[in-house]
Amino acid sequence: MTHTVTAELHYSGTWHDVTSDLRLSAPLTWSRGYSLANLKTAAGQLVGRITSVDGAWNPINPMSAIYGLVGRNTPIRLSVEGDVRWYGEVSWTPMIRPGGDVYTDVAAGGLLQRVQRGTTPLKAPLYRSIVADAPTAFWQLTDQATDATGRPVTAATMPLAGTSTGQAWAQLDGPGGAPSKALQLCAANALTATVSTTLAPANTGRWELEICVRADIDTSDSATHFIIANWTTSGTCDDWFLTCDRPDTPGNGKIKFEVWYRHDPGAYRGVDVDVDETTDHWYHVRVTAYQSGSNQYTSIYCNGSSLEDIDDPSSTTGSPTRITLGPQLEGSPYFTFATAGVTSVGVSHLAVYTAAAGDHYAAATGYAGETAGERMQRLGTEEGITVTVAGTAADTTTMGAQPLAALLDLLTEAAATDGGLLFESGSTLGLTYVPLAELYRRPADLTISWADDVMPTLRPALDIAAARNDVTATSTTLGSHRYAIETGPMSTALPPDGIGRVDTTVNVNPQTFAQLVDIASWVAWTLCSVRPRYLELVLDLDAAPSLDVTGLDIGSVIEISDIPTTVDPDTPRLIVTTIEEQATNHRRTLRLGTVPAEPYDVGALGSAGAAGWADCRATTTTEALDATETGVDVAAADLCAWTHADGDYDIVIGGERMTVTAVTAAAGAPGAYTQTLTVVRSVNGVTKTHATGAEVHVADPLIMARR
Amino acid sequence: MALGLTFSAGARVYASDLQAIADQVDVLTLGVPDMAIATRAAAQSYTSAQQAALSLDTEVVDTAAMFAATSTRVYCATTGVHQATGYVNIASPGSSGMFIAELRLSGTSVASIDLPLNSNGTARATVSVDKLMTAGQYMELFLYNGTGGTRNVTGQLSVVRLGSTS
Repeated sequence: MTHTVTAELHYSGTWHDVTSDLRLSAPLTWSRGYSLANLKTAAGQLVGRITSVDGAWNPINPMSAIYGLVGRNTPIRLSVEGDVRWYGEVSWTPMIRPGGDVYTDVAAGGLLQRVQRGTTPLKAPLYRSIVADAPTAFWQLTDQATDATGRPVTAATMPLAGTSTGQAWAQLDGPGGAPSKALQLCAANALTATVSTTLAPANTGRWELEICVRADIDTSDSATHFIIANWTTSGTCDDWFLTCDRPDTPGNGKIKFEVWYRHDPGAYRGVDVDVDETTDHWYHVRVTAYQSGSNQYTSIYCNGSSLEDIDDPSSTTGSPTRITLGPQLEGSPYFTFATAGVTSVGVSHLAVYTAAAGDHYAAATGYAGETAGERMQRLGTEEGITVTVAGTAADTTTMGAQPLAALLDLLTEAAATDGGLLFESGSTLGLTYVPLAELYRRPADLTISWADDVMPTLRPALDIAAARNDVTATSTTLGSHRYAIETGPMSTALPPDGIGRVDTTVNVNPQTFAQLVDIASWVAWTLCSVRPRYLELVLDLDAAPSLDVTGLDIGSVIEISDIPTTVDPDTPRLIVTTIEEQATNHRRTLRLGTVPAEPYDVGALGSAGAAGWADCRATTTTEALDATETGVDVAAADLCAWTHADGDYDIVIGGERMTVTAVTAAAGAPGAYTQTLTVVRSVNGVTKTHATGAEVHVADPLIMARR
Repeated sequence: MALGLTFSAGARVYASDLQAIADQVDVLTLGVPDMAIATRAAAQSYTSAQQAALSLDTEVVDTAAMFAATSTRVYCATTGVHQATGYVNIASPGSSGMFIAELRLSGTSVASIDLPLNSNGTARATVSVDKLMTAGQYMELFLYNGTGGTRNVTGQLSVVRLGSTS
């Protein structure tokens, strides 16, 4: 059978078909995938050879047509039968042998071959978010303990210098979105330290100021009141204060921020907001002012919400000229100050804008609470790579604060936390993520015939190569949780009762500890399926030309039909995790790495779409069964009884699947009920006798899903 | 109250564990069970040989939308075992004949009592029964006046859900 293999390079702004020079006498091989055991994306590869007479495909040959056009990481894509199967970037290894065969080996990789080389952590989310909005002045205030000033991030900006004693650099843990150590302005009841700088922005008519404030105070203390920041402007409202105050109702779990400004000589006007007290005592406060006609409009935002607006007629806005931070004792005579109830006050990430900027509260939290899918998409957008979520990003698990880590590590962490599959896309240069929820009860994307569609290398493997029955899920912020499967054939019990302890640690970053608990048990159960792994699953597209693999991708579910009962009594359902494809113009195979899909066939409740049957923990047969008897007498040693109230369902006894069509009323006492199940025998082709005491279980159990 | 159950993501769910939860939920909800108490505050006149349900004109309590005045019926909102109690008061019953109070579950008699008649004052009696009621069924308090004269009656019907059957 012939196959149409097409290779294209992208240069000079368009795709160029290079198939005619491609050597297809030996197969082209390319691969992609994800490891659920290691929770890592496998870097894709493409290996081929291209004829290079007279150095035609030697990119450094000045006489070649590709000189100056093709080089390192030139985009390449490969299609088979018109379907783009692989996309990457190519490197070149010219082979120059006078008088001999002249060719160039091409070795291409997917996006990861480039992205994974970078190990420098991305800047903190809040830093990235602020810089993206081009601030006029920006200080991180995460300077070293030995520093005397707060160095500016922006050019032509003065440092924030201490104007009194008491400030302590690198003293406080920063907010989630800026976890470096932050500046402490005061400790308990010592409101003396300030840092200050001057500004001279060119723009006037609009300014915005944002700052993260750590206000660790007793909000039930009715006396607490201090200044966090004071700034002056060139406008008619020239003197501004951001203060922290007791709430109107002390002890109500709120904290109050106020903005006061002088709108007439000697006259101050203020707006205030009460916001919920946070566990880490960090608050993101933003004050904006802009000119509209002869009016100035002022707003204050706290933790992402616009909480108060005010309008000043006959005012000019100007621009900030000086900023002082610190719980100052000096200040306007209109304010009184009290230090009671103060544990510590700190600041981080002060930014001033003279153009409209966005609200960076989400970034200040490190985007805690965003979903894994949304995080991947956001990071992809920020870093200029394509991340496609093959499902609903909002349905993925919620994440903790984004840590300081390299891009690929952040993407990998999000994938591991959600539990889906992250892999290099096949048809574009980018990454694709299949969320865990998309793997739940996924219908078969492709059904293949054991007899006709696969090479005879396919075989089940009852091994422990991928098994991990003792799993510790670890989060840098939440701690860790360990889950071990302690009973059953895949348990930590010594053989022959179990497989022995096989432990692993997974590094994840969920939003809550409850998710961490789920992750540990989920990883253990999915890696310890009692179902066999299937090795050497190779689709032979020449032996099975009708097999349509166009839509087959990582995350697809395949079912193997007509598998002999003596090989596997059940129809194998497998999730594809790796694909290695080989093609020439007369031969094509797909080698698939898979994991059992059954652990992902979780239960569903409800009148519509219900899936899975509650099992009985301790039901056994009370009689010996020949190979055909349809009345199965059982005893339940657990507090449950069998029923047929919801219709037919399947049970398994000794590997034989039977369909229950009726159940007698339970006799005896709870915990020792006896019943007779009317069944259809051998529905999976297994015909055998069963001894008294054989275990009885539902064939399609109700499996708990993950949060 | 802790159940002592742990459900692990990825693990099988067993029927006995689900039942334990269901039982616990039932116990917890007993704090505010389904119940309704309705009375006949204004005297209802029964002519001689009349047999009719007591018409309840006043709602005392109703936690599950089981009763709406004025009606003879108190409905079951949630399937389960319920206790129904009827109370009858006849101002001047006389001493001859009979006066019967009867609880009917969706029209079928499930309990009855003969009131102790006397010529000196009032006759009072309570009839009660525990029955499995399914959602939508109703309880009524039927009275039969066999005293030979017209009688003025007040009374009460209450239905309280005791719990589920399993």
